[in-house]
Amino acid sequence: MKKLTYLCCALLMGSVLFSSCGDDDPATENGQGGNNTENTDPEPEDPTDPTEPEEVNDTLVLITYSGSTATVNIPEAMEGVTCTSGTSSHVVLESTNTTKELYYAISGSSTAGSLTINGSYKLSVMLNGVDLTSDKGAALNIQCGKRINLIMAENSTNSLADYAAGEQKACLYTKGHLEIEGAGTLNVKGNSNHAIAAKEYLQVKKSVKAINILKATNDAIHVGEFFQMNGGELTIDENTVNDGIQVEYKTDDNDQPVDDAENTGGVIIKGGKINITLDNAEDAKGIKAEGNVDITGGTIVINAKSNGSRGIQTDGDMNISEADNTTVITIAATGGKCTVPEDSEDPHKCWGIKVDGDLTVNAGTLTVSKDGSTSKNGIRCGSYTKKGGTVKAQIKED
Amino acid sequence: MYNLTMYNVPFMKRLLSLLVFSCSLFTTFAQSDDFGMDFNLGVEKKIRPGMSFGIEGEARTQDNTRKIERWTVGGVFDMRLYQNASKSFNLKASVGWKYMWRYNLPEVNTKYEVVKDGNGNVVDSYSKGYNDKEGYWRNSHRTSVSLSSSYKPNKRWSFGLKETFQFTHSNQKSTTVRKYRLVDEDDPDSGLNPNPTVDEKVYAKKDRSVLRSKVTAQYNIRHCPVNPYASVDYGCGLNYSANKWKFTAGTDINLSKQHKLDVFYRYQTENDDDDPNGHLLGIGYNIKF
Repeated sequence: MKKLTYLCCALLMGSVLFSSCGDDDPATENGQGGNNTENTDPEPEDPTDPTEPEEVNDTLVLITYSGSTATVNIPEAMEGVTCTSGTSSHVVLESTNTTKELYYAISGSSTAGSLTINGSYKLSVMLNGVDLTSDKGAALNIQCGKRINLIMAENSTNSLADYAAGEQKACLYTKGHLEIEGAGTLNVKGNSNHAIAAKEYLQVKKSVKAINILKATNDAIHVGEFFQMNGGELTIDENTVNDGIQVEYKTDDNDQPVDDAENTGGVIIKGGKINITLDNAEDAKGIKAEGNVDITGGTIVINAKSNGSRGIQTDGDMNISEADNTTVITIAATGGKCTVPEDSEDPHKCWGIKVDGDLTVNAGTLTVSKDGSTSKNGIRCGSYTKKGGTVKAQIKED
Repeated sequence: MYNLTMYNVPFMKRLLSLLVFSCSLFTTFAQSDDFGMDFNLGVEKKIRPGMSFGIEGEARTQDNTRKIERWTVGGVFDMRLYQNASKSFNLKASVGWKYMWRYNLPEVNTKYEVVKDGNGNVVDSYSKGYNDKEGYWRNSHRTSVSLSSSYKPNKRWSFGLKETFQFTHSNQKSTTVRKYRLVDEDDPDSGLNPNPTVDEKVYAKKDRSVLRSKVTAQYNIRHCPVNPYASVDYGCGLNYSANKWKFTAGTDINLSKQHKLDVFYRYQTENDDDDPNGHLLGIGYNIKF
């Protein structure tokens, strides 16, 4: 009976994995992403292969939520993984595994549940239609320092919400390189801080169907190193209090940027669709990067309604092209001056795009408007170069 | 000991008139280029034949002599490397060090807003305010190593060539910049906001190396303490972009064997933050013992 259960789960996961097997590895595509550990590790065992049932048992942990309890099935043959939370719906798994990738499949629902995984090796977490609301902290807290695959089962809807009075960094927090894939939907509510936060980079792969940030008390997505989107649809609605997507340099204990090729502080958008509405906080940014913003495809729609807000802001350069897909960027900058500026002498106004470095448009369509016409608060940048494409905006150079 | 009264009094009057005329002329020049004055006091002690040590202090003005540009104190050690039997040719090496307090003038720069359309065409342009940067003092250390030669083909003429490697280290310094901007940055008629944004402008420490070549020709007037000279000095930045020419005309006035006055006019062709642009009138007093 037990083997049969594992086999059924394996087949379920198989559909998930096959749904995303055509996905490109964006990290290696652009040369700056990618976890070196991932690329050099031996090929992981395929837990979905029915001809290797023992291997399936070795690598798959099943977590099923049901109200205030959770069932955690750890294969007997699996070594190095222990559940320290018993049957509590706040599941805590400790892993000492450092030899092969492990898979964690979660399903069910709980209004008082969470999952914490601590380890030091790459892993995959499969969301098989899970609905988790935590009453203690983060809904999903994964810390391994390596690549973390977050895979949504095909056509599944997964919902995560965290504890409003908690001190967690995010509803979905990862210490590792987060890669989201799978043709499912992920709804996230960050009731206390960020909705999604990754200490290292975050990649949204082509196979993703939808990620909806329904609420964020701070940033909707807060990332270290870089953010890369290859496909799918990301929606950040007006219930986000701070920035939509914020990318910072990963820093060390002395708050200095870590010297790492992946630590670009940049935003890379190659495809998919991003919808962001800023209407809940002054001085918020739809997309904010400490490094460069490179858009080579995709549809981006940002509605910057709040005072002092910026559709896109970067400390570095911004480059727009159609190297990967058709690029259409539409920003409505309708907010007024910031009434609660950073300081009393900084009553800055709303901008569609603000680039501290240089803006280069090679191809694509870029429109920054206010009430349907090109506004005076369109684009502020260091220098502006247009080599192609269509740009409808007023541009002011510093 | 020389006695000035023994020299030609009409000549001295002409020299004085020339200096006064030069001052008025330079003040006129200063409408386009800066005009400054240089005051130099040096004391030189002969340690032994062919070897001496000197200290000097310098004050230089800028902004049409209204502001001090720098104070300098330093020392230099000279050693003769070679002298031929007739003493017509000398080769000398020098090592020097200076400590400088340099004042950078306040600056007011108007800022313009240029509005472009999506194709990069300018559709509007207007003044959006100005930046008011406070003046600031900055200190520097300058060391130099030089090799100089002089040649006297006869009793009247002497020619010199000096090659100098100069290294200047300037410490980090910051100053305050007040940015006055329009009340409404989109409306050029909205007037300036009386409350500026105050920023700190930081000038990082910097190291600059320069190779300088100087050619001098001097004439010794018979029975006269005045020895006019002219020199051309070319400075080439080794680790930054600088090509600076200095054309100098002046005269040494020997007051006695120990006391010498140096009066000169200098024009510099290129401005950088080491020296003021334009014209400089200098007076130096040197004591040897």
